[in-house]
Amino acid sequence: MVAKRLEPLHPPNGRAERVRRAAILAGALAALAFAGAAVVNEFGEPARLASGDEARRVFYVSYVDEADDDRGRINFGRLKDALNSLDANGTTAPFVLDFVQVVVGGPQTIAGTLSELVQRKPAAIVATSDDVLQAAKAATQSIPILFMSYGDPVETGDVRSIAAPGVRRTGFTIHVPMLQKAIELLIDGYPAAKHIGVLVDSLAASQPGQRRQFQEARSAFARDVQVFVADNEQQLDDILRAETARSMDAWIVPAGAALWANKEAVIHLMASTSKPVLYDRTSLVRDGALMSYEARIVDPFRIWANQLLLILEGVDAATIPVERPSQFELALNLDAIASNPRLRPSKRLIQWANVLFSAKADKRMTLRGVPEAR
Amino acid sequence: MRLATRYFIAFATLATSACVTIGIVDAVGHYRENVAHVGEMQRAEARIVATRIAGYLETLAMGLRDVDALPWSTGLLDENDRRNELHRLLKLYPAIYELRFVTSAGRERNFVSRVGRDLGAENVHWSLDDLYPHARYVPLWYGPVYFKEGSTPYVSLVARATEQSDLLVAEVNLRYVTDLIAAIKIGRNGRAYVVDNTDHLVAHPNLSFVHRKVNLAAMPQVERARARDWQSSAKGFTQPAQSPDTAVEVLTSAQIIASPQWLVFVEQPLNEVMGPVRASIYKAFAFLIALLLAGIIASRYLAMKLTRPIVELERSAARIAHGDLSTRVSADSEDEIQALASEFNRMAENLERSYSGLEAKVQLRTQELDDAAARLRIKADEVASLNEQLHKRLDELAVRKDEAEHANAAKTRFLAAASHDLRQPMQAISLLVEVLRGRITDSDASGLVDKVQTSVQALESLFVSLLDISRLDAGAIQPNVQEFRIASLLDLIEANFLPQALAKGLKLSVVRSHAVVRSDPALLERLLSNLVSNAVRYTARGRVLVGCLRRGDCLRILVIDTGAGVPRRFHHDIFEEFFQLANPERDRSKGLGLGLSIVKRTAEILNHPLIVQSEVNRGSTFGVEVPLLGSRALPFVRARFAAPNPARFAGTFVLVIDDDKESRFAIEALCRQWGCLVVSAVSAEAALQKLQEHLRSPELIISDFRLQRGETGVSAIEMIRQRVEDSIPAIVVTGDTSVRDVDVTPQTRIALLFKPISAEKLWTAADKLLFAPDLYRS
Repeated sequence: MVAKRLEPLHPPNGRAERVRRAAILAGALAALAFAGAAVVNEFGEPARLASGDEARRVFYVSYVDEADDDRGRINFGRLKDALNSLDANGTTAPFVLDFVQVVVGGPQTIAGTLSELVQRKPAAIVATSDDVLQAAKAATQSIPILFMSYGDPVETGDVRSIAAPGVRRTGFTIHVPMLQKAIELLIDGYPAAKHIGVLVDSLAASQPGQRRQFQEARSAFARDVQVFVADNEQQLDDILRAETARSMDAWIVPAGAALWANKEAVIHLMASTSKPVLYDRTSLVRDGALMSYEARIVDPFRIWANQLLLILEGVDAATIPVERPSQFELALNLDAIASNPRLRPSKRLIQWANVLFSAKADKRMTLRGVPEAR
Repeated sequence: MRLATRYFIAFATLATSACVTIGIVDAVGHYRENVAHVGEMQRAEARIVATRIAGYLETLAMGLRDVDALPWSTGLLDENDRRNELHRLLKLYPAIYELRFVTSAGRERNFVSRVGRDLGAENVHWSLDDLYPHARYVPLWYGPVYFKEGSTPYVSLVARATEQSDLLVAEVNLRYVTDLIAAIKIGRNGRAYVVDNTDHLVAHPNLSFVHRKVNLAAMPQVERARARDWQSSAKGFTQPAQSPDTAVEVLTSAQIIASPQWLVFVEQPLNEVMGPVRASIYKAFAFLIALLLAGIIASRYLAMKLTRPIVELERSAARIAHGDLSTRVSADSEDEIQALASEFNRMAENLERSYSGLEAKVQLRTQELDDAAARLRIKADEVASLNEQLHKRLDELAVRKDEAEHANAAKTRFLAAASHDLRQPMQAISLLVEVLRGRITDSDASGLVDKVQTSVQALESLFVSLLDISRLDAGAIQPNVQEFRIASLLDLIEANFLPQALAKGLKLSVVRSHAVVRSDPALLERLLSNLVSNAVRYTARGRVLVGCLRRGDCLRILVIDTGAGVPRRFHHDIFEEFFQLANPERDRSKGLGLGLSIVKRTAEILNHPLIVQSEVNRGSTFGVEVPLLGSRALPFVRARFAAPNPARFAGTFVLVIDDDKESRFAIEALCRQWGCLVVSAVSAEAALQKLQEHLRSPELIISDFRLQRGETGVSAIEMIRQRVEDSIPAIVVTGDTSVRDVDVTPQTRIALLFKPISAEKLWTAADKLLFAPDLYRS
């Protein structure tokens, strides 16, 4: 899903990590779109045209690794469609939605691009990744910014609160602190699991919120909860070869750069442990993972479109709440379970699962109305 | 306006009125029906939305009640089963975010969450009355909507299967209600939204709008819904309003969800809702226009069909009127029109026959007229020939008239020249005789002088008369018309002729008149004097009456005598020169035969008509008509006609200029006889030289008009006046009756006398210049 290759092990680096996070978020959005939104492959023209009125111009800024990466354009088209759908009456005064793409390592830096865009005094900027959000934040405090965040935007200082951002930044975050819920589900499924490993990337591991969750989880459960940090496939391989990891009875793998960079390899590596692994993306179950528990944003582009129209109608972005996931989904891969008797969960977990996936079975096995498209 | 047009207008008006009336009634009816239908449809949609939401909530409640109704207290089911059931609810109902069992005492028995760790009986106590008031007393209780983390609306749903069972509390994320209503299609651009019982927006397709925790209590549609008694009228209502988030004009309908008393609003943009209504109206109007067009076309067709035979009749009549009498009308309608056409054709046939006879008569009359015209042309040629001859005669007469006028003018000039040449000696003789009379004392010689004087007077009278005629013919006399009282003139006439009449034994009666007339008094006096003189002269006995008669704006002054009378055939001749009826011997004592000639010429100059009535042996009446002004008080001018006294001239210094020695001597002698101091000279230069010998300036200049070397009396007088004194009065004496360029106005103080002048004329003129210059008239 992402073009960026795995890199040698090295400590977390600011910009490189942000780019990687952007790629992860873009992938997440694409996956969400695949899962919950109608796919519309129309793009090119701005959503609604107005002749050169810069005050009514909105920049959709995409930050990609390679110039031929068209995921940004696809998502831009989805936002445009959502806008046209919501504003079908034309009640919002005409505006222009411009697509701006910045390539990592290209002639234009993201900071320089945002600085130039701010000079044109647009009505709003859509920051499609954390890098774009940080650059936009640095460039302006007055121009409304729509963002998407993987982490907790309050903790990162992007907004003051979820209900009332307090600054001219709003959007949505897929962050929900549910590590304890994940551990609980793992224990419910595999009551014998005494040692539970949590695999995160270095960026997540460095977040205070994450660390707090680890602490709370350790104290909440009478289990051994270990945190493992890996940013790529090699690191993960190294970790899994280690004795500590091998002693783990089950694994929790939240969304991390390494996973999204080469998810098939990660799933394969984690599966090679023959231990139960709980991911946080249903899509990974379809890719062969054992199980997942996901908090999901339903139709993120519609959320952005709603917020953008409010801004264009004059509502202060600082008063528009940040959207959070409202849907939660437990998915099990029956094929994976069947392949290894040791991975067979408790009946309770199977009963609780929202999605029971089996590539061998037909689509009727899907209990929830989740699109099967990949 | 043509008949077809009138019919067309009538039919079209009828058709269009009917169509328009029907169309408007139909359109209005359709409009009202459609509006009512739209409202009904929208209220139905609102009910559907409300039913779905209520159904969704009821489904949740049913699930909760099912779990709560399980026999938990019997011991058949343990805590794990309780947890499993709660997770089953979470699985079945994604809107449920958390679930907990709470005992009637408020102790939390179980808790499951989608994001947090599940909890068992952890001795958590709730104040049920505070948190879930009344929940213990009803099977299903909806708590107030609250906004989790300040943005996402949730509602607590508390179910209780039996009075003994625990409370099962579900925290429901209302985002799913939003998803529910967002999935309901309301028209093309319509939508639904939900307001809770505190008027907060809890579900709306625009999720961000919901998360802003908006309160819509102030919106009219919400106010109206809250004020409505939903129990008595559950149909809901529809009204125009504004959309809460976009302020677009919408048509909105409201419905209530009985439990939990939430309001459901369905709205559609007005332009969308009214679109079908407008389309219906447009269709109705299009149909109406089509009907109108059809009506107009049908009206046109009917009008043309009805009026075509009449139009054909009218055209045929027009062709007949233009002479085409062979025109006939064809009609096969077998109705009144066909009968009319037949009558028309019969009339045309009769007319054609009549016209043929009339044409022959006209040709005959035309021939007769042509003949008469030819005869008239011949007569006209004859008249033209006669007219030409007449013109020739007239031309000849004009030539002869010119010749006569030239001859008359020559005669006049001759008489003027002759009189001038004769006047000089005559004047000298007259003046000298007067001088001689003063010097002779011998009675015999005095008798001879008297005879000489009588002869001279006769001769002078003849010359005066000839001179008058000459002057009148020459146009030398210009009337000086003024207003004056006729009485003064009559007095003068009476004074002049009374002695003469008495001498002949005649009675002269002058009847007084106060009339004021407009004429030249001097010329009128001369005219009347001639008439009175003739009357006295030719009346042997009887009387002469002078009187006046008013005739309109004229005054007739009549001189009536009892003389021999004039035969009627001579009434014109008597005005010719030297014509006398009873004086074949040319006795000068009976006049010269010039008086009436002078009267006639004078009357012509004055433009006064003459009156002549005379019969033989019955006397004569001569008169003149003078313009009458009425009776006014005008100054009496009799003094002008008073005879002067020569003794008044004694001592007057008189300068006489005349190149004729005799004439100069006669005037000088006469003036010396009057007692004047006289200096005489042949020219102005000579006079000035002589005046240098005197210390005083001359008081009167008497000068001949024609002097030596082209000098005139006027220029001589001017020279003397320039050298000596400006205002010396002067008398110019001339025998040339053609002299006209002497200014004799009072301002010049110059008098013009025509030779021969008598001593009386001379002193009269001198007296006026010296003693009454303002009364002087030439």
